[in-house]
Amino acid sequence: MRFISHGNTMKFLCLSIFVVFVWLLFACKEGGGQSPAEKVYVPPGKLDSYYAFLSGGHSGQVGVFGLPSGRLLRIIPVFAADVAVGWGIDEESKQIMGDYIWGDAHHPALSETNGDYDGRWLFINDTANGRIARINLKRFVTEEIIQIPNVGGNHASPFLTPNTEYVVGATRFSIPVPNRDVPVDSYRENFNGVIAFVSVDKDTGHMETAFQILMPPFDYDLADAGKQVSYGWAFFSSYNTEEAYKDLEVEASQKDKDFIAAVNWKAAEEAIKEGKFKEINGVKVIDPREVKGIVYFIPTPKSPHGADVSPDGKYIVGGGKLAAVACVHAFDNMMEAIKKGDFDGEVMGIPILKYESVRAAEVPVGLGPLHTQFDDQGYAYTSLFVDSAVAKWKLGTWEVVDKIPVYYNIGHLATIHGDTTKPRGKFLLALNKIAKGRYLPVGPSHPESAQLIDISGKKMEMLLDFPTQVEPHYGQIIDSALIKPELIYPLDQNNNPYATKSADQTRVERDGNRVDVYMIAIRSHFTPNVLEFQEGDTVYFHVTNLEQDVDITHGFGINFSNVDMQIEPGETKTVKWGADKPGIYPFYCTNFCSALHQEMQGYIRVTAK
Amino acid sequence: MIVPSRLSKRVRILIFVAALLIIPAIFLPIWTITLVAPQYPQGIKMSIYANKLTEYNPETGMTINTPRLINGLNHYIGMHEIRPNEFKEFRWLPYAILAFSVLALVSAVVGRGLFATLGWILFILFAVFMIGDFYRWLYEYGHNLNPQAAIKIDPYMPPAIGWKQLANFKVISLPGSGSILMFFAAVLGPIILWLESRQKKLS
Ligand SMILES: [Cu+2]
Repeated sequence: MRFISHGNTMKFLCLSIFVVFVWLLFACKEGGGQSPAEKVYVPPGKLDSYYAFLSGGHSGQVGVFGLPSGRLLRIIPVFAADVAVGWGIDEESKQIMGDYIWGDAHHPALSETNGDYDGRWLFINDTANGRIARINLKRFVTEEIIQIPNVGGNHASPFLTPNTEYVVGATRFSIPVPNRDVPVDSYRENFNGVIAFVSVDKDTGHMETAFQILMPPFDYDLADAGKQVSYGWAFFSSYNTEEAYKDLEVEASQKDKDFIAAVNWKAAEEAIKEGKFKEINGVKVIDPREVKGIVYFIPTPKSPHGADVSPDGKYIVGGGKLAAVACVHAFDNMMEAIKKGDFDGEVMGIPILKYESVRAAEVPVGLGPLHTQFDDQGYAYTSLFVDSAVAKWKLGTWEVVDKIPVYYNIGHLATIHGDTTKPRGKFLLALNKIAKGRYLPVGPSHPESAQLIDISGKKMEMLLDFPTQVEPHYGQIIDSALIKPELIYPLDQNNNPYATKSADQTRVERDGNRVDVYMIAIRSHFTPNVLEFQEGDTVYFHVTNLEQDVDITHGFGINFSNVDMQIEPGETKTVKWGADKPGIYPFYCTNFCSALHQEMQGYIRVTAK
Repeated sequence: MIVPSRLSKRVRILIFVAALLIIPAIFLPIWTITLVAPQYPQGIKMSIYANKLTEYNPETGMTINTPRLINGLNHYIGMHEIRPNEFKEFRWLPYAILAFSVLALVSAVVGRGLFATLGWILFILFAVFMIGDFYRWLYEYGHNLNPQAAIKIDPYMPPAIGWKQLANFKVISLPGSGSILMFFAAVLGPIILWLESRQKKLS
């Protein structure tokens, strides 16, 4: 019996081959047609497409990485010294750093115009010592660090408003405001949280504490400013609404719901204008018991971490870190509830909105939702600390469409322009807390880690692990086309009063015990290069790098001292050195500059009094 | 060669064009020397004008009036620093170019064959002199090397036109737009002669 003729067999074969071929084509298209290796490979000589700014945690620094390659490009010193570049050693950076030698850098925030990154500045908070720093992205150098009075443990910071009108700060560890000596067990009576608004000058970026709001002694965790429809508001998550001060581990996790504080900063500006504030430590502080309509509490499940506003500004996503759902609040519902006075009591004069009235959805993302970012297709991505995973879900339908494991215990995540009004999609960076076993071991302290995930397809795809050196609490990823750093400093625009613009202007000036040395560095010598001082002199070296060529940085290091700094082409830097002990002190160029770099040196002689 | 004593209108227009072609050379680069090295893949370009030198670094997009980068690199081999104020040519060259343009203009107006021919010969002599002057400078820079230099090299002749490898540098020397225009002005001379002799034959 022949069911299929010879001719039919051929037809059947051809057809199956054709089907398989089409299927293959389709399968390739589905995966973008590229392997993970191809997606992250940036060939030698080619540049990455994105800058990722990752916080440095308690190293006090910021890491700059290229994506998709994951290559470390630079570590920008902020709250801690960097002896290579001289951060914290030369006079100017010493002044910017202030008296603290460490900081805990958690949340980088790129400046925004109309709700999207503009590539001008990067702000970052210091959780430890209550500060915010501003990095100039023309120079990749920290330009300003300000102290925020009254805030204990500035964690929910700097999360800026859509036109960088304000960067915010908020208390994680409540303290007496103003700070004073009181018994710790008088926590409820004497301790307070504070939400701070710091204004940013449109042109210079200069920061100044504008006003603050006195809050109940909760722990304020993260924040996000309202955008588009919710412009004019800012949202702060809080935990420990139990107001515990001892065993927070247990005591602060009792309540079923904590709060997201919704702050109407436009209304706060009005209140300040009308003089409805008191001054504490020189800051205008609004007390919600006296001024109404500024702050509202939105109940949110179990110790929320993230309070992330969707790109259209319509939703606020609360990541209840001890819950199994991401709780989504609708801004419209909130406004409606406020209008109707749909309250469920109040704390410290702050109305608590009814949960059911404000909530739009509880999205079953998984265990330990922390932080949410967005893409350009209407999807949200929530990190799951307990599950060690990322969940992808749809805004509006609240459907969880995909989940991908990460290694391990993800904290924040970042997508490209992921917290702006115009997310770009494409990649997601998982910022993990634990990375044991993922890299060659280097002792009991294991590398910190980030993982790059492709989010352009239907299914998320893991592409790359890379160690981050600095602890990536949070990151910002920006299209590299938006950042145009200086490659050198033009000498003719060097306005430093201590600049020396040619070798014939170099000189040594003495005024009592103070000696000013006006020095130049150019391949491959310093002028002057033999110097004599007297014991007890205080010497200021003003070194100008006369180079105008790209990447010709000189260093200035003095033997047997704590003096070392880098001077970029066209730059002048000043460093102070004490001629404390008679003897000979060689100095040299510490940053490789030329074929005669090793010859770039000089001598200091200190004679006894 | 037969030079017609009265120039035709067509020829006078051509001489007028030559006068116009010479003028821009006062403002346009006359010669360019580009240094390309592994660490300068886009090259550093020195442009020689009638009255100045410029150095352009494509990496920074900066143009300056002293070849600071090139001098910095040349000091390793002990080459004498290129200082714009050491070139006396910069003081009179723009006027010389202007004078030749005026001369061409005058010959176009006067329309006398002999006058125009003499002007053209003078212009060619001037060009030969300038090329010789350029050679002399290149020879000086390539041979007057500081014996104390960190890197000792044999004296050498930098290329006047074309390219030459020197240590890690490829030196490319090419005429600038100013001299290309002057070249066209100069070749108009023979073209005119040919046109005129043909005209004569026809008539
Ligand atoms: Cu050096």
